Amino acid sequence: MILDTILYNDVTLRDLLLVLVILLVFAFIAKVITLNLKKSLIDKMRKSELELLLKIVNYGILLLAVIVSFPMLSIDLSGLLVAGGFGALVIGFASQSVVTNLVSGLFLIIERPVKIGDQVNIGGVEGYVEDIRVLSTIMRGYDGVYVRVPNEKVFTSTILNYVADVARIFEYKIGIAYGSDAEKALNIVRGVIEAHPIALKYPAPVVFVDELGDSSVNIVARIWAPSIEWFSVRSELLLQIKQALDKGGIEIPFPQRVIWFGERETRNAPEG
Amino acid sequence: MFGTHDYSLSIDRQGMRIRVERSSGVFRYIRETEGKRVEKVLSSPYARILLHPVEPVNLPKKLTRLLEIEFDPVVMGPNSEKTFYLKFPIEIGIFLEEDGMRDVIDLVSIAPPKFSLYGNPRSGVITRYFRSNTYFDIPEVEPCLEGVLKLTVKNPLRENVEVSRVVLEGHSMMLYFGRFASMIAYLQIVNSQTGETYFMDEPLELGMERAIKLYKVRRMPVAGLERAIMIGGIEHSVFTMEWGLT
Repeated sequence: MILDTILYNDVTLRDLLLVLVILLVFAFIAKVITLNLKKSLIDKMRKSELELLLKIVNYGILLLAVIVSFPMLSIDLSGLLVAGGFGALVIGFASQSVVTNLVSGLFLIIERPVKIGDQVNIGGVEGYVEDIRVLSTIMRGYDGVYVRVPNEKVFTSTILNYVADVARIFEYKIGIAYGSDAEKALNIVRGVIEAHPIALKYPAPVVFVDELGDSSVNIVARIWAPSIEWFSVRSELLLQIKQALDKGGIEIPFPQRVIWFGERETRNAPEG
Repeated sequence: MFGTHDYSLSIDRQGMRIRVERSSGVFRYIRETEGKRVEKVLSSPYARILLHPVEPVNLPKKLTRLLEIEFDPVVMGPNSEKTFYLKFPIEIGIFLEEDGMRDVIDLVSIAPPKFSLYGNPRSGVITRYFRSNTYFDIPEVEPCLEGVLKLTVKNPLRENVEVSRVVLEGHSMMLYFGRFASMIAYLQIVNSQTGETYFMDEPLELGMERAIKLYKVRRMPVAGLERAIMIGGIEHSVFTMEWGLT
């Protein structure tokens, strides 16, 4: 048969056609995989980084096709593979942290524990997420300082995302003087919270006397606010509560001690 | 109050003052509410000013597209349908119209705003909240403060379902105005915890005019807004209330 025609060494026409088919199949698989990756990651990664990743995946699959099919053409890749293996070992040791960050970055892109704009605490670093890149996450601290956090640290750290949920709760502790009307104070605080438009109606705020402290009667107010607005609500509300309590004649005392002196017995002085 | 005005516009109601003044050869739009003053120079002397009720989900901040109205509980019997009226807060859009072009120059509301959470803190939604009594006739309202919502609740289930809350998607609202602002909506009960709300594009009273829509309805993935239904050949966006009806 024509397909059994030997081209060179033991390589027949059939072998050549098989290699071509294998290369075409792998090329098709590479195309499908890169298209799907692009579709799923297009809004999660920068365009330049996504293009780079897709090229790496595409050429990686084609390289695999070459490794699988070339032995059929009596091309001995073993020497190349050994050299490549040594090279990969050397490069691997030298770039292990880069690779770790890259892999962590990919997992972060898939898991998405943080998004750009989120207010977070990543392993003790607090601030806003400015950018999420393949190797690192860029944050801006509350003082405006640029912070680059390697993705390996982001992936393995405890992440506090203050805005991941729709709403969050915050708490005030307000101490009023023992001589002040506690019930009036509670009503004043409740009224101020109710009047604030962004302090949420539901879940309802909770205001109660929490403790009879050394210097004051301590009131706790727990208030829910939309996560994206919680800080502005928290900042505004406390001042409004203070002003309302002042207006209502409720004293917020300094820390204090009341000292009682007992009566002394008097003794007759000795004569002389 | 609602409708089309020229530069002789002067409204003073419930502490809200809106007017156009001319000084130094220039027309100025002036709005004053609760000690706050907004002033804008109008470059054209020929424009018309339109005051229309708009979707009440913009002020004081655009935090949500949803309006939630809590009302006196209504127990819906098995396989029943009931229509009643609720009040809703009004936001007024002030538009400048000239040569067929219309632009919004101001949004104002004197209805005290309040937000709430519908659902749980993890996956719920923030809503503009309003508390209304339940009325079985069209109630009297102060037009610059409140409008009238005609709500029809449909219960196809074979059990009683209590309803005391309705959540409406703001961008799908079909507002009309005449002597007051109005809209017509439906709440279709799906189960004892879930319902679907949608609007009808109809005036509550004859002679009412369709209000300008601030938002065009788009099929955007808003929590709960997943589908549309066809009624009378017209597509209506449906909002699914999935965190309870009370």
